[in-house]
Amino acid sequence: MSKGRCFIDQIMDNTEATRRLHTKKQTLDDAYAAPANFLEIDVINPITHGVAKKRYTDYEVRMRTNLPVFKIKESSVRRRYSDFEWLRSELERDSKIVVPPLPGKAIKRQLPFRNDDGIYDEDFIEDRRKSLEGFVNKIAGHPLAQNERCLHMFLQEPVIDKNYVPGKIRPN
Amino acid sequence: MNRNFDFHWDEGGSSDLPCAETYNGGAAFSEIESRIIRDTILGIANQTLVYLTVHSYGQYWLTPWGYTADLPANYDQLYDLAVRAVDKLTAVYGTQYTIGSSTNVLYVNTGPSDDWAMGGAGIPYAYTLELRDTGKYGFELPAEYQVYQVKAKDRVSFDVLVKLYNERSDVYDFWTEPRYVDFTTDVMVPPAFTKTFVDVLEAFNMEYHIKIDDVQHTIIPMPTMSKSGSMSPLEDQDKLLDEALSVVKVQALQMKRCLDKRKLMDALKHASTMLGELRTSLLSPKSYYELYMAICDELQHLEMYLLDEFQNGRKVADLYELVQYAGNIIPRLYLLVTVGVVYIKTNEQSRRDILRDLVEMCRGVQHPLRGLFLRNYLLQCTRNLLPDLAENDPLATESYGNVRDAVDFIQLNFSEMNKLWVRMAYQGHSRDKERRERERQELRLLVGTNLVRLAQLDSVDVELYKKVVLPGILEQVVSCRDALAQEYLMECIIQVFPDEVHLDTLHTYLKACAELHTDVKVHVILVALVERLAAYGQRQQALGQPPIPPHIPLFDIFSDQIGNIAQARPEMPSENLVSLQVSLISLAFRCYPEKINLVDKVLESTLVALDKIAVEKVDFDSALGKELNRLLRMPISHYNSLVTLLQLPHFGQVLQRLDFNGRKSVALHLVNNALDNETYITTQEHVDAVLNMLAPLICDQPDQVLTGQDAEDFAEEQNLMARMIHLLAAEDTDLDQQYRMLTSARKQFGAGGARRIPFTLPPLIYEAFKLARKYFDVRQEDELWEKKCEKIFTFCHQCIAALVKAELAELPLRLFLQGALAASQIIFGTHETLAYEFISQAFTLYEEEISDSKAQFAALTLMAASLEKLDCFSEENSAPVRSKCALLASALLRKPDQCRALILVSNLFWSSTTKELEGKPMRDGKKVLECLRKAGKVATECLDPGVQAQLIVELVNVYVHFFHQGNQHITVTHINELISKVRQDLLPQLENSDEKELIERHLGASCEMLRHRRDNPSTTSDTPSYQGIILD
Repeated sequence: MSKGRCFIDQIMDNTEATRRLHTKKQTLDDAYAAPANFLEIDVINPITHGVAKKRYTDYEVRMRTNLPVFKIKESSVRRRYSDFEWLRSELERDSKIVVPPLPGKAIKRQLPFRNDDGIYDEDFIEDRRKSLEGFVNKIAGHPLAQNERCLHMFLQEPVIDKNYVPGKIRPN
Repeated sequence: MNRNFDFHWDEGGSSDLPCAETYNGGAAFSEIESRIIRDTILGIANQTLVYLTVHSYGQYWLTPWGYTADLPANYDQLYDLAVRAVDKLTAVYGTQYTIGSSTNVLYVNTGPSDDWAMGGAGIPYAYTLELRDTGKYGFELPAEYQVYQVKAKDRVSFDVLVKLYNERSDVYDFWTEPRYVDFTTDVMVPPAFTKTFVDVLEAFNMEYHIKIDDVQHTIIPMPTMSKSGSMSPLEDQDKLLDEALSVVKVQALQMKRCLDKRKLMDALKHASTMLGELRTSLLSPKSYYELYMAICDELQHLEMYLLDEFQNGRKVADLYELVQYAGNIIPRLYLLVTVGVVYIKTNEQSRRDILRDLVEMCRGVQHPLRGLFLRNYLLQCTRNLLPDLAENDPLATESYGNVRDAVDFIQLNFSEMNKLWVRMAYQGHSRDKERRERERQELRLLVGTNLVRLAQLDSVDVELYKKVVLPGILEQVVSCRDALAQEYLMECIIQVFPDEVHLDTLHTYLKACAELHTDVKVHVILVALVERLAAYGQRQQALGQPPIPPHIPLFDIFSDQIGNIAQARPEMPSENLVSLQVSLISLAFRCYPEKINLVDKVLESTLVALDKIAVEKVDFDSALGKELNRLLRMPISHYNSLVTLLQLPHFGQVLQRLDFNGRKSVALHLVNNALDNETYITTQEHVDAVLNMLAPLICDQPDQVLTGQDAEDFAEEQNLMARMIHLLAAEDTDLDQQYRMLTSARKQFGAGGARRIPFTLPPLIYEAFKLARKYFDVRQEDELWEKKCEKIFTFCHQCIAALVKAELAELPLRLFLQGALAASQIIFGTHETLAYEFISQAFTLYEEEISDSKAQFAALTLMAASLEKLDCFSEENSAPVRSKCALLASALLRKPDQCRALILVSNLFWSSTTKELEGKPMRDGKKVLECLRKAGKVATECLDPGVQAQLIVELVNVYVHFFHQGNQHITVTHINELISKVRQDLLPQLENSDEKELIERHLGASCEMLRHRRDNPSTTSDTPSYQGIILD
C-alpha cells in the first residue's frame, strides 16, 4: 500500500532482486520470553541497634536479578548509612559514571536537646529508606557500575571489607 | 545494541564485556530496544524492501554480512542500489562513501541489525549507513551549525548573496531566498565554512549577526517527564484522567467544528491531538479504558463524516497515505484504522490488503497497555468487515479475501495482543505483582474478544476450526507459558465456540491442557468443559437425539486424557485430580445414564490415583477429603438407591480410603438417602454389603475418633440406624430370606458394643417378632413354620440376652415382656414354654438388675400389664406368676408405690386369663379384695395424711370399678368406709392447700358419679345396686 514500495518497484525492474528472502517469523519463545535484564533491589526492615553513642540504624538490602554479571542471583545483607556512603565514594573514585546523590546526613537531627527521636525518628527512617532504595537501584542498574567490585561486595558480601582491592569484575 | 540481534549472534566481533562498545548484551535480543525494533520490523517485513540503519561514523555504505566474508546472494543488486544512493549523496554534499559488505570493508561483527534484517526478517535490501566523518572527529562531530541573519545593504553584496544562494546551496542553507537589497535572510552554515562565510560577509560589508549559535542544541528537545511504567497512586488517577478527558473534550469539539466547516486537514490535526492523550503511561488500566472509550466515541464522528465524504466521491486512498504521516505512532495508527475502515466500506475490493496492512502496522505499538487498546480498537472497527465468505464463494475474490484471511487477521491480532498481555506481567517491581495480575485480569476481555470474533465467523466450518482456528489459538496459549492467560483463554475457548466443534476437537484441546503451566488450574477448565458438554448432551436428549454422537467416545476420551494430564502434571494436587473425576461422573450421569459401569470406572481410576499418592487414610477435613466426599456423594444422590450403589464394586473401596470422619459422613449421607427414598434392601448379600459401607455407624473402627462427640449426635446417628433396620425387607413371599437378612444384620449390629446395641437391637427384635407373626399367617403354606418361629424366638432371646450382657435392664425387660406377648399370640408347639421363659427372664431381670424404686415401679406396672394380656399360660404357669407379681408389689420400697402396684396387680386376678379359661377373664373376686385390702392397709400406713388421702381416694375408685364390674366380694360398706375415712379422718388434718383442694375435688367427682348411679339405678340385672352408699 505504501508509496515507497511503488517507487522502489518502479526503479527495481529486476524482479529477482525484489523476490522475498526466506522470512523468519518471530518465534513463540521470543515473543513470550521473560526479559533477560531483571534486577530488583529492596531496602527494607530498618532496625535500630545499640544505645547512646553506639546507636545506629541498619537496613536489609535484598537483591534479586537474572543479570549474568551477578554471580549470586538472590542475596540479602544488612547495611547502614555509612556503608552507602562508602559505596558512593568508591564509585566516585573508580567508576566513570555520575554517581547519584545520597539522602542528606541530617546533621540537624543529630544535635542534642531535640524533642523527637532525631535520626531515629520513624518517619525520618522511612524517608531515608526510600531514598537509599532509589539510590542503590540507580547505581546497580548502571552497566558500568555493575563491573565495580565495590558494588558486588556491597550487595552480596555479608561483611564489607573496606581494605579490599578495588577493581573490575570480569564476566568469566 | 548493534551486536544484539539474533542472526549469527556472538560468533565474533562482539564482546562479552558489558562496558565494551561492542558488548553483545549477554544474549540475543536481551535488550528491550532491540526487541522492539525486532517486533516492529517483523510486523512490516513482508512489505518492506529496504532496511536502512543509520550510524556514525566512517562514511561507509555497508551491506551484509557482518558475520562472514562471504557475500550475500543478492550482493550484485545490493551493490547496484548502493552505488546509486551514494552517487546522489556525493552529488549533494560532495562526501565520498565507501561501499561494500561490512566484513570486507571493516571487520567481522556479529549480531548487527542489518544482518538480522536481511537474514532474519528477510528484507532484501539491508544497509548500514555510517555517516560522516572519516575519523577526524569520529563519533562526535562538532555540532556547530550556525544560523546567520544577513542583510545585504547594496547591490553588489546582494549579488554575492544570490550567487551563493544559486551556486553553493550544497553548503549554505538559505532559509529564505534573498529577494532584494536590505532584505533580511537566514542562512545556516556548516562549521567548516563559518570562517569563509564570515570573511565574505566582512569583505562585502554586509550586516549580520549570529541568530542561532548551535542548531543541534535547538532542535534536540529537552527530555520531558516520562516515568514510563510508574503508575501514579490512586488519588492522582482521577486527576490525570480528568485532565486527559478535558483535552479530549476540547479537541473533539474543535474537530467537529472543523468537520462542519469541511476543513478535513484541521479536523485530522485535532483528532491527532486528541488521540495523543492515549500515549500516557500514567493511567491505570481502568482509567485508560475510560479515556479510550471517550475517544472512541469521538472517533465515530470522524468516521461518519469520512464515510459521507467518500460516498460522495472523495478519494480515500490519498487520505490513507496522508494519515500515515501523523507525527506520533499512537494517533497515526488510530487514524489509520479509522480511515482504513472507511476505505473498506467504500471500496469493497480492497478489503483483504487493507485489513492485513492494518493488523501488521499495529505492531508499531509494543507498549502493553497502549497496544492492547489499539488492537481492541482495530477489532471493534473491523467487526462487520471481515471477509466472512467460504473459500469457494464466487464473491470471495482475490482482493476481497475469504474466511481464511479473516481468520488470519484475527489470529495475528490475537497473538500480538496475547503477547502484550503476557508481557505486562514483567512490567514494574515484583512486589506489585499481585496488583499487576489484578489489572491483567481486568484487561482479559480485550484479548478474549479475539476469540469471540473468531467464533462469530459464520464461514468457519468444523474442518477449518479443527485444522486452523483451534491449533492457531492453542499454539499461542500453550507457548505463552503464563498461567493467568492460559486459564482464561482455555475457558474462553470453551465458552465462545459451539459445543459441536468441541466434540470434534476434544483430543486436541485436552492434549493442550496437559501442556499448560503448572499453576493453571486445569481441573477448573476441564470441569467447565465437561459441564458444557454434559449440558449439551442433555439438551440433545431432550430433542430426542442421542446425547453425544455415537462415533465420539466422549467418556473414553475424557477419561484417557485426564489420565494423561495427571501423568504430565505430577505436581497437581490430588484434590484437583479428584475434582476431575467428579466431573467425569457428572458426564457419565448426564450423557450415559444407562451405563453404570462408567461410574465404576471413574471410581476405579480414582482408586489408582489414590494408590499413587500413597496416602493410607485421607483426612476428611483436607481438600482431598472434601473432594472425595463430593465424589462419593454424587452417585448416592444421583441414583437415590443404596442398592444401585452396590453395583459399583469400587465405591466401597474408595470409601475405605477416607478416614473415620469421612467414612462416617458418607455413611450418614447414605443412610439418610436410603431413608428418604425408602430404599428397601431385599437380600442377605445386600445387607452385608450395605452394612459394611455403614460400618463406622455400626461398630467401633480401629481409627475412630470419638472424643468430643456429642451424646445427642450419637443418639441421633444410632436412631437413624434403627430406622434403617426397618428397610431390611425381603419380598413378602420370601420369609426365609428375611430371616437370613436379620441374622446377618444381627451379626453386624451385635458387634456395635454396649453403646450402640440399645439403639439397634430392639428394632431388629421387633422385626423378628413381626416375621414370626408372618410365618404364623402363612402357616398353611409352610409346614416347617413352627420350627422357624422357634428359631426366631431363640434369635430374639439371644438378642435380648446381648442387651442384658451390656448391663441394661429396663430395655431387655421390656423386650422380654414383648417377646412373651408375641409368643403367646403365635400359637405353635412350644409357645407357652417360650412365653414362660421370657416372662421368667423378665422377673429375674427385675429382681437382679432393677434397684431404683421408680424404675421398679415402672417395670412392675409394665409386667402387670403384660401379664394381663398374656393368654397362653395354663393355670399351672399363670398362678405363680400372678402371686409373684403381688409379692413384688408389696416388696416395693415406697408405700404409695406399693399401694398402687397392688391395685394394678389386683387387676390380674380379675381380668387376666389362662389356657384353661379359654380367653375368659378370671374374675377371682376374693383375691382382688385381698389385694385391695392390702393396698388399703399400706395406704393407711403412710404417715403423710395428704398422701394417704390421695391413695385412698384412688382406692375408692378402684373399689367402685370392681364393684361395678360385679365383684361380689366388694360391698357398699367397703366404699363407705373409705369415703368416710377420708372425709372424717384425713381431710380435717390437712391445711388448706392446693393439695387438699385437689383431693377434695377428686373425691367430689367420684362421689358425684356414685350419687348418679345410686339415684339412677340401672335397669339391667348384672349391675349391682348402689343403694346404701353414704355420700354426705
